[in-house]
Amino acid sequence: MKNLFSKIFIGLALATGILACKDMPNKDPEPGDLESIPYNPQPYTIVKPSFFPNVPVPADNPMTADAVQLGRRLFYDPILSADSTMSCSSCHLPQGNFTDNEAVSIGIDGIAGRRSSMALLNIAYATNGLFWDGRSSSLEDQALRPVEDPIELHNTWPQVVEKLKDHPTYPTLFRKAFGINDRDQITKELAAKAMAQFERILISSGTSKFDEFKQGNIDIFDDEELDGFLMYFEEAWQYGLNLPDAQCFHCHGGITLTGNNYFNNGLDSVGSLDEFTDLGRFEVTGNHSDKGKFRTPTLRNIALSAPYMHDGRFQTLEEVVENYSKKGFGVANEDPNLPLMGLNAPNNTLSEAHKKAIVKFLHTLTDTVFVKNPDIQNPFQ
Amino acid sequence: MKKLTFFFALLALAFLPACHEHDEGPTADFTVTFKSNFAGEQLTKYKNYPYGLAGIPLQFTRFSTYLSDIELIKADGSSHRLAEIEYVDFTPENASTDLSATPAITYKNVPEGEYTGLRIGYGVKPSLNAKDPADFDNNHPLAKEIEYWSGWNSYIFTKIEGKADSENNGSLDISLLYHCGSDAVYKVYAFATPIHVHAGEPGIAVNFDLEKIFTMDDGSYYDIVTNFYTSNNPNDIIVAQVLMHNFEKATTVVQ
Repeated sequence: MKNLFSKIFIGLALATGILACKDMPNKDPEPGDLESIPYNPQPYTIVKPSFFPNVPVPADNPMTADAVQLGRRLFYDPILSADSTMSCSSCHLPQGNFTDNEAVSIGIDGIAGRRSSMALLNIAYATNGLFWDGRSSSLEDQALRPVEDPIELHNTWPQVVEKLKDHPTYPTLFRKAFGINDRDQITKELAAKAMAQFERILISSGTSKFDEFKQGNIDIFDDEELDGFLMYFEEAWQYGLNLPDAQCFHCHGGITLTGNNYFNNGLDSVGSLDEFTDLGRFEVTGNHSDKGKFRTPTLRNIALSAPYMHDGRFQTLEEVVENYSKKGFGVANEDPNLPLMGLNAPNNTLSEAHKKAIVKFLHTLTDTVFVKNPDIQNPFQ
Repeated sequence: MKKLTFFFALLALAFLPACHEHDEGPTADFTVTFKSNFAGEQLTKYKNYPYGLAGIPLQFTRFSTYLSDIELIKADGSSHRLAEIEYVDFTPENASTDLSATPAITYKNVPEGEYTGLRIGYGVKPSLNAKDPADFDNNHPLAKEIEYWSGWNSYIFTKIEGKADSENNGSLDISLLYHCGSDAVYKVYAFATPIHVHAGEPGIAVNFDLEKIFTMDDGSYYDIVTNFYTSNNPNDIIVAQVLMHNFEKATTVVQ
């Protein structure tokens, strides 16, 4: 009898074990376990306005429809964070021009970061460094960093990769995107490539009021908007108007309205460059004169991207323009354009009407078609 | 048959000049190093340089320039073009020091031989300046959006930015903003100097001395206190003309 109970117990234990193993993630998958899934990469053509330059795409990460979709899913999936509560999109939301509209972002542990999340609109054109200090040289490199940042997603890539391998859907998506043969070939590099591909499609629609004006619809601006435009780009002479120079386009120029260069734009009055609370670009270059410099963000959709500056110190565009009209503090590495703000105005100072016109022009940069583009929204909703 | 032979002979003669243009003589790599100076000293950002007779402190924060049709000149007047367009940035944003950069560009397959000089177009030549950044691939020098000004329909040929202490009292009270552009200020200058192009021989250095860019033909210093910026109006190019003109005497070519 005792023998019989023993045999039943052992049998039940074995059966339970077998069943349990069946439900467990496949920790040791067969080589080639994804080969039966078709891999037919279809080139993805980035949709952009005709008057925008071609989007830079690295040769080792060609755009494909499946990789873009994988990247989109990863971008919005909290699977990347240690406690599965936050994703890239937690700090980069479409309606906020892919910012979180917070002064600084809060990570999964409730810790506040040092800097504001940057807008991702037209980020594909940012080839002069990413983040406020330019510490990443490519979207592929940038996409790797928030996952392991302790004040952001606070995870490790080995853990993320394990979760992706064990996931019911992702191995198939990686196969379709990159042609991997088995789930063990999922890597953080491939995940980053996919996310970079998704970020490359975040391009303006070209339907903002500003774009329509630039494309020849010159009546679309009212007088105030036109004045703001002419001061921003310093083109008042073309209309025979006597308007001051606002110096904006020197830093926020080009079709994307950013040169992606680094400036001390006159935010803080410091006695020496070492006194900056945030040393900015210096943390990357180690160059003393880069202390307090930050990358210029795009001004496209700026009305949707509040608050402003690397630390979100300004809540409104009016505050931003007001600060620039003060022309900096004379700090050693401030950009020489700053003191020339308002050049040719009485006393070389912008009037309240001038400032209002500039703000009004900045609102013409709003591109609601972009933020509502269904192709870039959260695929889980 | 005679007619056929004559025909082929004519055909061969017709192609002969074309073949001659592609002279298959020995070639070599040839490096041109671009340098920026102030009074002969390698330019350093944010460094005070004494300027003018009063020696007022002058700093530079940015210096970049486009150069077109950089050509080696032969004694017979013909030339070999090294580059159609280059963007030379002496103050790049990824530098770990304020010492100016010295970009060195190596040109391949340059015909070996003795040259008598170098010709440079200062700025973007009109045929290219008629285009805009969207016309070029991303890595092309002319794809840089921030170096194009739509108001002028022109690239910004040269950017020189800085500050000056006009009262010499420790306060950098003058911002200097010289952005020169538009076809009217495009200049081509040639510099006569022996240049030997042979494998293993050093290339050349092209030096731009900023002090001389602000020195007038009569030796006086340009009044940077009064003329501290270039006009936005392309019909008012007086300041830009002065600076682009002065590039000639500011340039030295040495091997």
